[in-house]
Amino acid sequence: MTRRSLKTRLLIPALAAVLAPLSAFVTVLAVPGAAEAAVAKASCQVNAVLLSKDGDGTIPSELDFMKSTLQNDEFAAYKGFHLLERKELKLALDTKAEASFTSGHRVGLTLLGGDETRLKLHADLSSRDATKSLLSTDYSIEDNGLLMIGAGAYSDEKRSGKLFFAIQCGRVS
Amino acid sequence: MNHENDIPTQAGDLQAFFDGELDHAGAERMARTIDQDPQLRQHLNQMGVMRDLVGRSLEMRATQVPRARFEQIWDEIDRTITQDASRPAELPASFWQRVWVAFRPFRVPVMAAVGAAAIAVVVMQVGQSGPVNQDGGVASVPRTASPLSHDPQVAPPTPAPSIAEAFPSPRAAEAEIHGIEFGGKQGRISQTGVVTVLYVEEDATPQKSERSL
Repeated sequence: MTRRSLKTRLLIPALAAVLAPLSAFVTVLAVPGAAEAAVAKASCQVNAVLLSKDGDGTIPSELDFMKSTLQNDEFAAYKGFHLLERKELKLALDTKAEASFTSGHRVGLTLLGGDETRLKLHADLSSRDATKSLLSTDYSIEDNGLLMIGAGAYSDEKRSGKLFFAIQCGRVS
Repeated sequence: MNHENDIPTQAGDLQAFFDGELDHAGAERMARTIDQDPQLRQHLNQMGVMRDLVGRSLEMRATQVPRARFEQIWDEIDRTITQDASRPAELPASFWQRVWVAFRPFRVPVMAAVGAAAIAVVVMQVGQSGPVNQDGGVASVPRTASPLSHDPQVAPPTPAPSIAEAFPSPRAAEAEIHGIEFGGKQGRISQTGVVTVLYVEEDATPQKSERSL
């Protein structure tokens, strides 16, 4: 019967203790996209909101979630707030999802990644006839943070004003 | 019959006869010759005497070796047998088998490292979905390489209800714009500290800008 030397018996667990976490760490770094794998899915809402200068300043209940935003000085000129449409998009990493609106605009969103508190996204907005891109941007924002896109003047049968797209995305665990 | 001439020629046969190496016919023939030839008989007797002397000499030498010497020899043989039994098996002839044998002390740590790496890959794969969103309620297509490029191939819009339940109220925080491209008449970024608004206007010549805030 052969007996392992003390040196060998110490070397094996020592090597295992070093190599196991080291290899796992290297693997995580080596696999593409692993660094941003913490955020793999997100759920987004895109609200088409019409802001007009006619109104009593009342914010309807369906826009209550963005009340603090609409009461910001940036929108102080507007007294009427109307939710035209709300579209939901579920995003997977590096996969574009798009929503069309009755105004003719198309809003595209792509989840690019994120860390523990923020999401990294790509957003684009098409023209009303969907023939060209009005906006294409990469941005990062807090989880459930709101990005507003002002798409210019808009009017329908009932009202007129400025059309805004409020984009809110949150990670899905 | 000239025996002086015959003896040398028959010497080989006589030696073979003495050693019992002749076949039956040859042995009978040689025996008849020896019976008829006293000189050959004398040679045969001398060969017998010589064999006896050599045998006795060897026996005498063997008796002169002390018993302790035999025990020493047997001890040596025992030690050799024990060493052969305890010696590890000879290295395999195959190169890969020899590498495997040399690798033996490192099997456990390396296997642990490979296992940890495999677990890391599995965990990452579980936490990360494929490139295509397969949720039935979601319209999505794989994203193009350029983050700022417009993807012309886009799936149909999400068949969601027109007014869905709102998300929780967002915290007042600005967005960080990493890159932006305006394609309309004009575009600008407004940041108030609590909200970020990107303004675009349709029509006119596209203008392009890149900024990082």
